[in-house]
Amino acid sequence: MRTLIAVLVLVSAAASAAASPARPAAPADAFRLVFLEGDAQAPVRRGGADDATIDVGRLAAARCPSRGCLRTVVRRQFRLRVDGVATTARFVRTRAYLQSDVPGHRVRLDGRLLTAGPQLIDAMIPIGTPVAHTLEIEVPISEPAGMLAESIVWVAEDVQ
Amino acid sequence: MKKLSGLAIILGLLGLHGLCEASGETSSGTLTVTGTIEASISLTVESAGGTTSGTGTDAATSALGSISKFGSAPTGFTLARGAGNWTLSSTAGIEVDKANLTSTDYTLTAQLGSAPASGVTWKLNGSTLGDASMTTLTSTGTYGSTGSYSWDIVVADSASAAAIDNAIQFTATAN
Repeated sequence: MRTLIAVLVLVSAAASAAASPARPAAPADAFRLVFLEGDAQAPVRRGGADDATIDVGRLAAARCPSRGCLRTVVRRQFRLRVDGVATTARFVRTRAYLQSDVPGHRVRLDGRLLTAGPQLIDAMIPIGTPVAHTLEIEVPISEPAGMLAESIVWVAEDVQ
Repeated sequence: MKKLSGLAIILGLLGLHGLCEASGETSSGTLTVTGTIEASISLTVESAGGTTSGTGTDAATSALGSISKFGSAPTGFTLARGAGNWTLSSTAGIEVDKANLTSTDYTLTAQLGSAPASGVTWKLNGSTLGDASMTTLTSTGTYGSTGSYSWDIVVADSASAAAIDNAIQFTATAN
């Protein structure tokens, strides 16, 4: 049994050592998510490595139909490029979800209603190619005027 | 049998290790969306006498056609003949809606777009309208419901036969 445990430890250590060169310490991520402007009305400001902020500007209810205002909506565009950092992948799929689901708010990406659960946005996009996305945010008219803040988490996965 | 179990565990662990290495690579990032929600109100003309177009918007037009004291009343109007003048009466329906606003009511005013033709008086809710100042129709308007305001055009018998064209400019202000 002692021999068995020793073999197990040795084999495990060997496997880890062999895998080490393929895993650089930093950056740990295989991909870099780069958010880019796609709309003059919505400047994108890069933050940390894979993070960014998009300012959609002022949201005001559009001319209301005769039955009254229903929702306050803003629609803006941006682009996402996924760069390869420590990967040989040529294509990735992207998913997105809301960090926190604000009651009454609706956030759509390319027409898909986002929730707190990841949703497929693009099944296969080439590494290094910017892809345009349309962001639509609706807030209820009952919500008082003020600041808007939503966080959309994006996940890029290599396509095996 | 013990040895077999140990071998199975080793193979299982190696298999799991290999599986982890082969799993898809992922990265994540956060796009933070910022903006400013602004309060707004909107005014629509829901109804008016005459042959009306543009109801449900903020720019409606009512055509009365040819009008005279002894003719028939235009569509949606009644005609009352008095001594020395005659009056066309109807109503105007105005709706004001709000969005992202905590205000509970509004003030509605009206004003003529230009000076009325000589001998012609325009009234809303019984108040004579002018082109120089606004007339308050209500200071406690209810959002989301159509307010109906009486609309009278009084024409003196002495008024010249001519067009009476004018515009009524409504203004809603959140209280």
